[in-house]
Amino acid sequence: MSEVLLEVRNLSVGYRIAAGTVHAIDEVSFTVHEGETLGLVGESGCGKTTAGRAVIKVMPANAEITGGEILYRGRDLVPLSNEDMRAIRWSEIAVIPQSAMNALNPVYRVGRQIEEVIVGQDGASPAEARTRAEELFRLVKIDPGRLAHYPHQFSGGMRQRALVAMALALDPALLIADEPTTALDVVSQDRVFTRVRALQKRLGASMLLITHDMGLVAENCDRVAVMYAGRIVEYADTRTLFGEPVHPYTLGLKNAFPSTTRPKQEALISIAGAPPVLLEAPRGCRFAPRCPFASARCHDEDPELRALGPGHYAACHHAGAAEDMRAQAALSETWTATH
Amino acid sequence: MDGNALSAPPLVTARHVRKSFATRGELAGLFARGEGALVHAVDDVSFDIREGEILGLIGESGSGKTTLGRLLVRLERHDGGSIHFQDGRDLAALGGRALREYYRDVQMIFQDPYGSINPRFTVHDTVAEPLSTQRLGDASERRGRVARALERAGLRPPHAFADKFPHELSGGERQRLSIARALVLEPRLLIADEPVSMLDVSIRAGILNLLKEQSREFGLTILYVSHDLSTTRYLCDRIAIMYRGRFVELGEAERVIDDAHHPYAQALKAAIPVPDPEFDRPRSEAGEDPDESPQESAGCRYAGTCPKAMEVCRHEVPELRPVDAGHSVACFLYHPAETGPIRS
Repeated sequence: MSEVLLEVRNLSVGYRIAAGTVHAIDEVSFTVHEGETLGLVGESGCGKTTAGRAVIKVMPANAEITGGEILYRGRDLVPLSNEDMRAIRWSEIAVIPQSAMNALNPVYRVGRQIEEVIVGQDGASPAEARTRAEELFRLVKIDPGRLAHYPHQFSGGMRQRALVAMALALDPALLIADEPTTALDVVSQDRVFTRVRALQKRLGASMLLITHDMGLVAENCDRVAVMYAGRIVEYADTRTLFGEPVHPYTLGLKNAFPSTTRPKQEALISIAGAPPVLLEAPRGCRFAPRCPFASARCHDEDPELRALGPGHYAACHHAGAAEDMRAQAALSETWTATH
Repeated sequence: MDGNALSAPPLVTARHVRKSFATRGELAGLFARGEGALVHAVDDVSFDIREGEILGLIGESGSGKTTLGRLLVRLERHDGGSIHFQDGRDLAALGGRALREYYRDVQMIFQDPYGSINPRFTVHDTVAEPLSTQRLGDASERRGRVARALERAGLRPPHAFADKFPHELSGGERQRLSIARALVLEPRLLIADEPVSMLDVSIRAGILNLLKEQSREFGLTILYVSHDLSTTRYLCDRIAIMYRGRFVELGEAERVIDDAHHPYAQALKAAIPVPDPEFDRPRSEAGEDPDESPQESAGCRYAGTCPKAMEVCRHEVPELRPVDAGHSVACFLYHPAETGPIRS
């Protein structure tokens, strides 16, 4: 495999709130290799967005990295000052955010916002920045004349592509794409993301793709980390994750999506209950209260992420019975029995 | 659906329905009085909702799907065409008491289970409210009906939920609460506008299954409004695809999705990532970028974007016509226009 670009080791992040500290992510580890796309998949509140933001250390004021390392090209970003981080953002690691509406300043022309990034980081002259911005717009298929427009004059899809252009402005090695297209209509989603992927490949950049969309993961990721309640519960290459999933949460997720390519299912899998509140560390496996396969041990003892095969890890005490669980998880009765 | 249901008159009959909204130009609107351009949110749409079916309405933002749903519950009034309920009631004529009584038959649930529920009402009070608005039953009868509605919506056992407040419920439970409130009057038609789009995947399936159950077990008729092809295909018996105020395709659910005919329907389908790494999704090479507003055309609304547009498409409006049993498409590719002078 190619070289490791980013290695996150045992990263924990907490949010201080009035009631205490919410442990949004708890000892999370993953790696992104040069040129690859790693999917960070899970539902709202699982910690995937927190993990992505922690990597570039752009976090809300009440958030704090409470442990672990973020090794970017071997250098730990955790102890770096804001000043040092600024040198890394955009030029090394760039983010394509979720909502283009909030990410662009409404009172400045789009071109100016992109050029500022280029001038600020690269020390380019305004004229060079303008040329580069025009190039970038052509790359994301927007007429460069549009640089003179304000964000509100753009459609949703164009705004999102303008942000893609901005993220690519300094040719970063790692793109963090957090639900990069969910705010768009179906057809635009596909257009924008296909464009992002093409550009990523052309520039040889790596991507951390944060999403809840298993379709996007299946089509675009080399490897996938499935997150649940602040932890990674399964980690594998994409084919293995979809072909031989092990963790019951992954099994549930996989069966919860209606297919558009196969005959209609009679009933979809619905996982009863809701994820735990992460104010105090839950006892045992965090998924146990919703898991149809949970045993006494699961409620008691926190399962470690263990290797099951080459590059395949799962945090489940019953990983040995994976085949059996897979068969049962496909039946909706299995999941209704836990109600 | 059995033969009986098919031969019964439709629950809703909509013919040539139109609804326009006045917009104001961006800056001009601030200074000028009077009305700007008209946007035809719903433009000459005709369809039936059959008793007992789940009809899906698919469209992207701005397609008019939400407006169409709101017309059926009279949150908006149509300004052209007609909408009739099964017993002949004309929606245009409903007002006052007749409108209040209409809400015993037709209820709606919304996308946001947080925004559509009063946070200061308990679960019981939330579900009982429509009963008091309709002046139905005494206190003990209402308690019974509320309990039945909670049970039906999957909030079981009802007494464990009755005194809770919305903030004590999970997102999925909150959506079940809004469903219970809609069901307490035992309506015949439920309009569900993107009821699962704000919910997590693991919870979404439970709500979809619940809606399906209402139809199969209680014969509830549902109009499911969504932008999502996969949940709509899963849930619905028939599907209508809307584009810029018009129906472009209508028919049996699997057929409309699996064998989409209209170029827009095909583009929509081709744009959905498939959660199977072994599946090689055929990508559509379709025409222009949908982000650039296509030119308005006097004919088919999709003509400006359509890769297969012909001259006729820009001048004449294609009508929804059958291509197969139970499957209609509004496209000149399948129904060549009658020859005649082209209007320009």
